[in-house]
Amino acid sequence: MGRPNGGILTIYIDCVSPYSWYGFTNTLRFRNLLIAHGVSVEILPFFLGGARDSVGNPYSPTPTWKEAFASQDSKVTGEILGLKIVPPKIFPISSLFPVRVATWIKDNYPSEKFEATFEALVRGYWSKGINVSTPEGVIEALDGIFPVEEIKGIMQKALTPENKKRVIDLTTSTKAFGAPWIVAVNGDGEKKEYFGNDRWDQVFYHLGVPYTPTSIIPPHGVKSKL
Amino acid sequence: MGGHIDCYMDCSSFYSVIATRYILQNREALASHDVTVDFIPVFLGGINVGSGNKPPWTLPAKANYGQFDIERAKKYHGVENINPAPFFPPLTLRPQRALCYIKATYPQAVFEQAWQELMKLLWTPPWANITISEVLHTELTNLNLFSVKEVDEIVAAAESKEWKDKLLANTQKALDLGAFGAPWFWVRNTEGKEEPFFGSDRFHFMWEFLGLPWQDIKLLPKGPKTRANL
Repeated sequence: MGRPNGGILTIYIDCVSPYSWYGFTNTLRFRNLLIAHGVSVEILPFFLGGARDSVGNPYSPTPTWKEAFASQDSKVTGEILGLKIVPPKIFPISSLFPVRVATWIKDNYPSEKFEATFEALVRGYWSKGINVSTPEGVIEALDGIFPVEEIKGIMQKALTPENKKRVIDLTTSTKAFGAPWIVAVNGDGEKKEYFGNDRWDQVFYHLGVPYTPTSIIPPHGVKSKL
Repeated sequence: MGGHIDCYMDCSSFYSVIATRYILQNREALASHDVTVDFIPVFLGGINVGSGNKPPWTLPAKANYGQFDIERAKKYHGVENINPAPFFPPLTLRPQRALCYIKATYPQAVFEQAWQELMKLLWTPPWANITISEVLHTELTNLNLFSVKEVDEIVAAAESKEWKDKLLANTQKALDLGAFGAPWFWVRNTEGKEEPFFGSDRFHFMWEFLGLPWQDIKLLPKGPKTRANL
């Protein structure tokens, strides 16, 4: 079996963005296959609001003409991935605080713990309607991932100057104008960046890993009758 | 700077699971100091027998103490979801031989991912008894790290003399280095000096031996702002 000579896929995600949840879920689905093909995988938290502001693409409400499609797209994408999307009552929220928390956990715990944290935060906001912009919301969302005392300690460490700077550094390390933001470096060292959860074909193509493009499976027996 | 850490481990060992995660979490920092890491599959049962040791939980006093220590270690390392399987203790000869073969056949990243996934299967609900050949086959297939043909080869290798011998040789090597349990580390520092380290709670000694900058744990005095100052 051919195994390409390396490559790195990095995905930047923020719990305020449902498409980050989709991209994160897909990354976990694809991860071992990518590793099997010699590509290493990194999942990093970043602050979407800050990224958008810094490239001159600040948040703006969905225009009326796009609302129906946006709602359909988010719902169906979730459905296909097995994620239940319940549009939160309070939207948008500032994700700066939970992103700081997730970043501290990313840097100070095993990667599985960060992944469980991100999942709980994004599910908390986009499935359970928890306002994760507040300490109370973070505690509620991370119930079962950390004991309350430990989350409180983490939340304090998340507000240290070092961690705040770490969030800024991660957020400005790309030219991301949205989330998820994917950076793919192939085995030849060529880097390409992608916006969104719907460019996986391009990502795999660039990384040089074999993949099946979206295709329709012929009905049973059709071929033999032709 | 520079150095190397050989990690002799068995996926049957709770403290090996903890140590693997800790080492991987610190691998980038280690790499920044030119310290490399290698994981070497051994059979812990063989290390116990060969060194005259026995599993800690077979001595009642250690079994009692272990309950406390394991819970504390889980909390400290943030891995409360780790629990022994209903079929504990697993006889891990088969998965460890499979890992020997995978290590010799596939890139390091694939080997290390397989190693972590097998540990997860033995230590995280709903568990899978990968000491059974058919279960090992199914679970290796589900990992998406290998094609079905490759999984066939891995599972067959785990039954073959070549890889039985390899696991024995790794285990003997650890014994020769003085191992009496797992995780067992053999560490080489910048000056080429080599020393053993045992367990998941001597990493500060290891960093010191390697000549790396590290922070000691520190008890903080009482004060209202103590925690915020961290």
